[in-house]
Amino acid sequence: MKRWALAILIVLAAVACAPADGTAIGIVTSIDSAGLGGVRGFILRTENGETLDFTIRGPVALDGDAFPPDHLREHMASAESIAVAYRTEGGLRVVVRLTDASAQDG
Amino acid sequence: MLPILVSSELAKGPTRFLFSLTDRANQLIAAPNVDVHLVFYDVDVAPDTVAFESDSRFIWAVEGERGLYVAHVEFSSAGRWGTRFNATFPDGRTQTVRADYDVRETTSTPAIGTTAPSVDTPTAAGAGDLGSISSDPEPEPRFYETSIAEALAAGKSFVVAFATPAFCRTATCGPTLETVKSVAEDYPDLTFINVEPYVMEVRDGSLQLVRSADGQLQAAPWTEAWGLVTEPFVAVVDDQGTVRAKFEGTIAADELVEAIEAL
Repeated sequence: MKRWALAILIVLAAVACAPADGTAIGIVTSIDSAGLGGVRGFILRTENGETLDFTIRGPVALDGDAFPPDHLREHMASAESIAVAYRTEGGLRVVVRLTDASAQDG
Repeated sequence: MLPILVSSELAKGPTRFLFSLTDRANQLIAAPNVDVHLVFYDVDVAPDTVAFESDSRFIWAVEGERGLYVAHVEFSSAGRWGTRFNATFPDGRTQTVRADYDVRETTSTPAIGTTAPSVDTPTAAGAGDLGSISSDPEPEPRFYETSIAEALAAGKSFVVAFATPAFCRTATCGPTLETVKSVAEDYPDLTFINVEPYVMEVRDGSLQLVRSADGQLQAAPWTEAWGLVTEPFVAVVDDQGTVRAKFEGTIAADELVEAIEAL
């Protein structure tokens, strides 16, 4: 198995530990924020070109290697892939946990 | 080729325009040997008429690994704008893509040329232990000697970095504070200030985030006073208390040096 594929499997396994309905990996292309501590959502573009909207509603896990929504812009700046664990509420993808996808490849 | 507009605040007037480029499989195109020329359009006035053009420069977000582009431009008005990104690759190939976006009337952070907000920020004198005011595992003591309010009151030029290393557990995060620290070594007489942008407290022997009732992170009072919408954020202030330069997100050492040298 190629190294990158193994890394993705590791990431998916890690985010799967959170109570989530799904996971997605991609790069952040837009952030909707009302200020620090006030990220309301973001858009993720997956490797197959799919564009997914995510909503921040309530606490986002910060355990282990997870990072807060306010840190998304650093990953956006370097076009670094992130892994998003999410649950579905009323048709919205609500973020459960954010981790650095490519950082696992080390 | 797809553009990513990284700047959180595009506003009328002088603007630091940060962007990246990827391919459709999310592979990074931004690289030091890929030149990008920008063509801007004031969509509200004439959507397909060139308003102005600008070259951009590549800067490293993570030295030697990943980076993005910066251009210093000036929007003449708020409203809808567009940019055509013209990339030239090392083999001479070119690619172009356009993106339209909104430009605001003002930014929430202090505009260049305006007075820096005077606000008390934590110092070692008030805290005693650097570990109680900085999440930097190797804090530079000099960065915690003076508060923003003290520097302004004393008429000192200073560099302030709203940056937290707390979340940078890997090298993929932009090491903004490390960049500022490296530049500071060459300016021993200049005041440098680092403040944690979020409300934090010491728990279980280490500095940790304080969440609000709904579990979100909270901007520290000094962060709110400066109107930050994202971090890290670095500003250069002169001895009159005027903001001379500001940098959102990734900053190149030579960008900061240039701003300091202009004081």
